[in-house]
Amino acid sequence: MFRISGLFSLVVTLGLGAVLFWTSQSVQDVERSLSKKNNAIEREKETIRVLSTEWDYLNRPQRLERLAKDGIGMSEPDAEETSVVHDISSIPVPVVPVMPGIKPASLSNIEPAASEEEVDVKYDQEAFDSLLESVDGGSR
Amino acid sequence: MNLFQRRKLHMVGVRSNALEQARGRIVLMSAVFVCAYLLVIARSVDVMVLQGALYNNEEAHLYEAVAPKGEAVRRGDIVDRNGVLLARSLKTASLYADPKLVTAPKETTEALKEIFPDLQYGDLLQKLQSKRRFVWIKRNITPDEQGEILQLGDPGLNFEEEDRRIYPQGELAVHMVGYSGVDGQGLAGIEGSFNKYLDAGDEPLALTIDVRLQHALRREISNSIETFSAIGGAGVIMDVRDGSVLAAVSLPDFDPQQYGRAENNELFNRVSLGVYELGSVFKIFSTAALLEETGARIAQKFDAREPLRRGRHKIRDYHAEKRIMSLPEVFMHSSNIGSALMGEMVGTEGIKKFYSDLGLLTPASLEVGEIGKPIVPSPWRDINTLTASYGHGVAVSPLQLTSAVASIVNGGELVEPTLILDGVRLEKDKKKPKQKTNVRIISPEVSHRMRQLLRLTVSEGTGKSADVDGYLVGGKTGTAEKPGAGGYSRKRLISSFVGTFPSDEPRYVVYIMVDEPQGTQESYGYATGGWVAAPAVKNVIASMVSILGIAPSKEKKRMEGSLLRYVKIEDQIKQEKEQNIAAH
Repeated sequence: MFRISGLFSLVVTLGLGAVLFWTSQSVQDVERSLSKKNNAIEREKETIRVLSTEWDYLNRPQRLERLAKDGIGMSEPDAEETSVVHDISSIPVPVVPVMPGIKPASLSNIEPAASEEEVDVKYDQEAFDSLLESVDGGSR
Repeated sequence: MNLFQRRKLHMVGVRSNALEQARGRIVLMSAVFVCAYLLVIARSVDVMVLQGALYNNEEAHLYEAVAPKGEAVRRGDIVDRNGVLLARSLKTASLYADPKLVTAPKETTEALKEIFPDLQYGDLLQKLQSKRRFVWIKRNITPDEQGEILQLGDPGLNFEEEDRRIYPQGELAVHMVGYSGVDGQGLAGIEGSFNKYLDAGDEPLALTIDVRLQHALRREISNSIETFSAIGGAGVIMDVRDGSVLAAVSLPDFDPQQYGRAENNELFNRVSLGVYELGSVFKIFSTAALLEETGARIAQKFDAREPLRRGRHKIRDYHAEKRIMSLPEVFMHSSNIGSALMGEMVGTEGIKKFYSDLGLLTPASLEVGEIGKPIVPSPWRDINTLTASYGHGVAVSPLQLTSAVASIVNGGELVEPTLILDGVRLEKDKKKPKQKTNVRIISPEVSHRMRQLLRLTVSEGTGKSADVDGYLVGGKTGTAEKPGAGGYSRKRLISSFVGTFPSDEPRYVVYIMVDEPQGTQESYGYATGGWVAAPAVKNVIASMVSILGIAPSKEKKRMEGSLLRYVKIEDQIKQEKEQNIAAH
């Protein structure tokens, strides 16, 4: 009786010890990776803080104004009668100043207007109708 | 297993019992020891093999060293009304040395001197050779510098992480945002007055400032100062409905990151701390007082043919028309004589009460610590009432003037200036819901009349150069002589303009003041408000409408409407003269 129960309890004890050891190991593992992740998150947060500060620093109105003036030839708004827009169709087509070696990025292959001329945009009823038709699948 | 098998050696009797007992004990003891050794072996395997593999990875070791700790409270951010950062605390490394661990002080000093050329060689060497265990080398260094020092690999050099206050917008709104010291203590502006709140590290503190408008205002004031060789300037943009300050500029200004290098002139806040006799812009208040208190009609005549004599005082007109003028004419031509007569009609008590209701005689209630106390004549004699009617003898801050004008044009309800968004106000360093004043200063009818008069001044009077086509700008010029030793000086002026738009339903008040402008060739030697400040206000309004996306009014409204009947405009005067000549 003693032999079997003694043997049994020894095996159980060893087994429990092994399970306990394994559990403590895995808990330590998990804690380690948790603290690693927490630290990584802290670092990321700090980086985001620094980057967003830099973003606001680089977007200072003074700087944007200077870049817009030097880079794309924009000017400060002025209050002259001619420059106040009363009618949306009177807005001139944006002019990209010609810079040597730099071609303006464009979605279409239409060249930007070279001068500040007013462009007469005609309303094309036919084109609009055909567009509608193509959207409707030509059912009309 | 064979331990148990041995027990099969069978013995009998007393000896066998004793032997049995001894053997049992030995087996038990052995089992205990075996278990203990197994544990030791298991732990050894754990430490050397299992965890050892982990620690081979240096980075993992580094992470392990930084124990997860509770989030340290950091000083809160300050942002503008659109969430653009105005102030934020960032971690930076500060370099210190433990001289006992520095092996070669001379070489280390030379290497450090190369990285930080501004450090003194002698000082540095002395520090590194000292007997102390801790000396600061340089605080708040950049990551690049930190990298170079790590490359040196000197065991005596170490870093401590410290928070440093960063102001991404630089000097742009420095007099409102303020600045803080090396230890993070707020020293001025919102940083100073909300010090405790910011230290608690709650959500960011949002101001009513809009950095885009702030920039437009600063640019125009700065241009005016340059063009007219002035010594300084100030300006405010205010929302007339709730008194929120959209922009407040005081020039010259300084970089808050290096406030220690700023001069007193730059540190001085001209917007809310400086008080000035602002001149004719005060005619807005005396005229409103006349209309409100006496119910005077718009056709009321004022004799401005001769300078006004009261006792030993003589009041003259700057833009002398030398004729009998109606009330709108007095306003649009900015007649001192007419305004003094208006003040006299209202009476000393009336003017005093009206000015005090507008908050002109007590310090403003802005949330920054730098608030100037207005200078009020004491005792207030009748002659003071006359001079106060055209803005002399009473000195107020540009901020007070702006909020008083906002109270006049917004329909007649008092507004108090505020810098804190979300309708909260500073109350003993805590945020507390802002109370709307609901105090009526003038009736809506008088408010409407005042808008008409302001519009008339821009369309026909002294403020023509502030007109922005399509936006019905109204406003009033002000040119005051600065008091100094031996009375007022004709050379040292405070030239200002207060504009409001759109006049039919005002939303914004824009005020610009330029300190001691000098006339130029282009301005024919003039340095008055109409020449100096009005064009600047016009440019600010032009920028505002494009930044805020305000559409121009479609039809050309004649806001001044019925007032024109009581006014002789230039063409009329010319025509009359021609008719007179023809008649002779």
